[in-house]
Amino acid sequence: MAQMWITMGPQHPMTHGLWTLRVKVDGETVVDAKAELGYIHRGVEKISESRDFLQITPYCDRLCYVSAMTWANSYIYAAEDLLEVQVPERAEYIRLISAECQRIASHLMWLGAYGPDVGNLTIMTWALRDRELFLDLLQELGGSRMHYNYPRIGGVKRDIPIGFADRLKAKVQMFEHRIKEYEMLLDESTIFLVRLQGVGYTKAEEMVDAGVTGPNLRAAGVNYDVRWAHPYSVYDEVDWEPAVEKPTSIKGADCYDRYRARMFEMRQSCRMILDAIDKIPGGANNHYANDDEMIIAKAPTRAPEGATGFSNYECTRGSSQFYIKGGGEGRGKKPYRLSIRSPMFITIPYIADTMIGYKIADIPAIMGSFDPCIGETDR
Amino acid sequence: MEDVIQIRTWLTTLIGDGLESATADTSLAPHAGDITFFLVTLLSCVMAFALIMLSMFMILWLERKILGRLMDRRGAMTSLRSLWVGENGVTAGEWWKKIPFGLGTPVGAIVAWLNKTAGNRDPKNPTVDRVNNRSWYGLAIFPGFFQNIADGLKFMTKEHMVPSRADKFIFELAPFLVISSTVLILGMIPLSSQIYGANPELSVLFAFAIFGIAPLGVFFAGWASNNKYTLIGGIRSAAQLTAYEIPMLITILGVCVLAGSFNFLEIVHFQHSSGSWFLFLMPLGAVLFLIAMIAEVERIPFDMPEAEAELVEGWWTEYGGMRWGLLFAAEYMRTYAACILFAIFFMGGWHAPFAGLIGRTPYIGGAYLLIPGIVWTLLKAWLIFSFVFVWARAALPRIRTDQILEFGWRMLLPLAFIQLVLVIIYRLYLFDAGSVHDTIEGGWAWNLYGIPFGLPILITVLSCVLFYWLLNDEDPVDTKERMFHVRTLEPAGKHVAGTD
Amino acid sequence: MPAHPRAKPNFRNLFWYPFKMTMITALRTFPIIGKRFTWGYHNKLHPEVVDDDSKVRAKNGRWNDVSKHEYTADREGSDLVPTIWRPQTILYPYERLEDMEPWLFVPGNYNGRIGVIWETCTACKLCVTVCPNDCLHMTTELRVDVLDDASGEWEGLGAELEVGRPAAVEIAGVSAVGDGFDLVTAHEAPPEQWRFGEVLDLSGDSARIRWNDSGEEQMVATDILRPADDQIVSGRIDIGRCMFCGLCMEACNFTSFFMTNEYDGMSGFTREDLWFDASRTRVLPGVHQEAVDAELAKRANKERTKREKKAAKAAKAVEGSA
Repeated sequence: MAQMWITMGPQHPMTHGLWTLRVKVDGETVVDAKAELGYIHRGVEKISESRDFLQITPYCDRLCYVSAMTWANSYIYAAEDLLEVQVPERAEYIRLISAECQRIASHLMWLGAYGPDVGNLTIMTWALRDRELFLDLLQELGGSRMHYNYPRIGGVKRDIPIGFADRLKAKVQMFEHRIKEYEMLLDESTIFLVRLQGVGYTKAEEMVDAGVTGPNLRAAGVNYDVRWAHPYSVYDEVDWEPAVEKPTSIKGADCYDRYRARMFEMRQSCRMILDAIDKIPGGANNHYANDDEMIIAKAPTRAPEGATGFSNYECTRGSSQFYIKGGGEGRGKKPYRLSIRSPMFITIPYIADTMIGYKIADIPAIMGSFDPCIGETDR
Repeated sequence: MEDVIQIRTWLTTLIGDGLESATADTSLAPHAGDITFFLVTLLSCVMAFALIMLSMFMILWLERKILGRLMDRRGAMTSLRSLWVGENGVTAGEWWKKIPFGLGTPVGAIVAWLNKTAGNRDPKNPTVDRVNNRSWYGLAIFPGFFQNIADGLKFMTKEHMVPSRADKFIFELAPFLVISSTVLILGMIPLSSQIYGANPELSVLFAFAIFGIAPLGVFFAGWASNNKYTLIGGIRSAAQLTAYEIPMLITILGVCVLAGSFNFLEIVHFQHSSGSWFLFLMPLGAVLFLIAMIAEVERIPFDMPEAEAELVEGWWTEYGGMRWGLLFAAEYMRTYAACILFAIFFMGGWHAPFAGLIGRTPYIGGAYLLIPGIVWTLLKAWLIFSFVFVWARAALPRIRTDQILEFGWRMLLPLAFIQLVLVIIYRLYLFDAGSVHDTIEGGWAWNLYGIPFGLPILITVLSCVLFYWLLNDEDPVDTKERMFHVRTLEPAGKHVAGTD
Repeated sequence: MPAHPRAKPNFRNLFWYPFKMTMITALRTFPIIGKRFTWGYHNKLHPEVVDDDSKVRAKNGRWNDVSKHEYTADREGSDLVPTIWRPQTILYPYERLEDMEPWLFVPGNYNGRIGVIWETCTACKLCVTVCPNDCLHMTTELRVDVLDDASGEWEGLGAELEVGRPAAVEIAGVSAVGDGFDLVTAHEAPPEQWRFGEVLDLSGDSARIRWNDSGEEQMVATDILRPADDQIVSGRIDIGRCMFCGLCMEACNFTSFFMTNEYDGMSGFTREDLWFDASRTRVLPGVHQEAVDAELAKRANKERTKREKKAAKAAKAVEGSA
């Protein structure tokens, strides 16, 4: 049969976001692939040039909406670098807990979407339901389930509510039981393995050259986790380890390895949360007022011209970096330039190359295993 | 053994006598018999189709409820409840006010009364907004049964679109082929010894010949829609359906060889009169039949042609409105037909299990034997549907097309041949034709060296042993660590940033 | 971490394990046998989840008494026949999540609908400045000031009727909560309480009013007339633009700006429907009343002290000149 270009267009149930993937197929085999992005570009970087530093935080939630807390935190670290603010330790612990809850919620969303991609509808209901546990926790912290606007320059918006610690521990322990059940359903299912193993090989060196980070890279055996290599916040005080998965094949990491990396990462996040809530300074059952210095430090609102701030943060999908230049409008109240490095923006062209040589039916398996989120890609 | 309710005989007698007396002195007298046959066939067709279509709602309901439990969600549906229990008199629109001539007022009064007595508005903790009140915390009635009717109405009212550059004639023809072949089969499948649409002598052959038209319709649909997705879906589907026709037909051939006839009624009678259901005589064939049928009706795990992850809806993407509704219904009709066929081929159709044994018990026995055959057939079909089709859908992911084809050609086909050979051996050498009895008790044609029903027992036991052995074949705890595994040995806190 | 130890394609994994897992899932959903298959998630009670605060807050409805609940992750733990009686999801709109899990909707912690008590607003415009999306607009409105309508201990401390200024007459039969109009559950704004007009002539105990709605003039007795103010601060919030970030609530120093617990009822058919004016940013009547009373007391006291000071000054002036 002749070769033809198929457009898995912006409106498609599978593409995990709003982008176009054009694949050239020869029969059922993919011979070429091109990604077209930009459908959800909202101009966050430009908008930020006319917003105060406080006002930019809600926009950063909306970059990757599935993983909002990590993106807000990522921006806040850059702004704190710019404005030279020291964050109290309790606030750092709270940020860690919220970021790890968000990481688990994001990975569960990935799992819930990945299951139907390969045909298993059951895991979708399970994963989304357990995601509710964490979304409820984040709702208690931040006030809504998706766009929390929770971290502030110098700390966090409010302290953890009374009773939150008990709920957190109960829910995380409940969830650890559930991870076992996911593995029973998926890892012990031949069809799932047959769909995922041997598909979508990615070599570690190629990924490092392309700039891929996050669980995709760790699945290939490269032990690079920003929280481990360049620890920020209190990640070097809690007990955890990066989820590195060394693949068996010299061809690289297949989809199964990436799946295992994320499952293990969820387990590590649970471990981190339980450790952090025990170690939090000031006690987990105390509630400080909104302006208390335990949870927020006073921060300047202006950044002089020439000041820069940078943060390298481990988002759920890779390492996200913010670069802020001060001295913008309002005599420095607004940034002159805010630049966002999104991990998925770097990875998606790489994904398109990964698909060459496999069948059309492998496209959702490969695509889903990289966990694309187009919100952060297009900003 | 004949069914308790002898509908067809009764109809024939009724209409025959009536027509005879009506046409006694007219010129139609010599044709009375033919007219009787025509009318009886017409009525029994209507009856058979109506029974199958109406009982199909049960299938849809079963699927949704069981799938819900398997996927860890359950609970009462409240579709009808929202009509008459609302918040302070305001439901999703005060629909009773729209009924003309004020006939809806009593409904409004009932709703108001219900809310007043059993509503749980607490004035101490109100909230201020528009649609907000706690309401009656009550039972749900008719849990989910009318969803399918609502779906059907929805399909009927949606727009019919034809893509502009589609091949119009073939585009319109394709659903027609799929639906008509499906419905034709439903006419051939007997629900009991008296309820069927038509019963030619080689009904099995005829039914499966019609069953095989569907791939053609699918391929037409995929091609004619002028859409790359549907083209791929149609090709995949045609390949898959063709690939699984063969093991299915060979299995059915085995069934027919075992029964000695190509007629549905004969096959069912034979299972009873020879003493054993074919499920126990050819379990391998039963499993093959089920797998082949799941592939034929394109359900998960074989639903790659309509895999929504890649192909949106596959070969029926471009169809809207009732055409899509009919194709969707056709999939469920084929599933239902597959379940009923399984009940007919392998589970003794409309015969009660252990009819002789239970029939002899003093009081219950008589009642047991009076249960109409159609009830048994439908119960068995529903059982198979719930425990095979729905369970497989919940538990398994989708298999890729080339893996499906490989599985069909390389694994199912040889197994089907093996089963055929075994069946031929049983029939030729292990069958005692003299012990076939058409009584309530059935016969004992499969004795083995004097053990009554020895052959089915032996085969069942051997199959269970084989299954058990296959399950435990591999070492259960084979944790070969993957090569070059990296594990960080230091706990956190001792790690220096920047080093590995 | 190595791959899952049983992750190998084989016969057992093809047929047995996936079917077994889903069967266990299905069996767990039934009330009695479900308890046998629980590994810590389903059908397991977690009483520590419901904290004391939540128990107090939720102790009202006889059907939804959370203090009697025992929390389970699947919301199934506390009922006798859970499969029939209580489904797993919250049956909105018959049940509401804030009744079942009140810790999720602690007032002040939840980013719900904006609620503004305009009587206490000082128009400092901090909220307008901080909104990232530019969705707040301050305007003025023609209303009767709370002090002018006061009765009891605060009567007489308000403004006086003046010629050329607006005035209002209370519309008979309407009051804020009464006549079957329930502020809590109403779908529209409450009916207008006042009829406004302009004072043309003031003499003795009657005044000539030109009504705003019809333009005609009428003589009205002074004692039913109240002075109105057309510079009362009011505002509009564009809910269509609002992203519910909560920065405005943080910015307001005068606790007039809230984000309530409400998440529904904010829909409309046109964009203009989403401009929420004073009536649609109303808060709970209890909360509102408290705040208004506090503000009323504050203003009354201020006015009282002002008058006392003026009287004292006038007395001193009289004394001084005398």
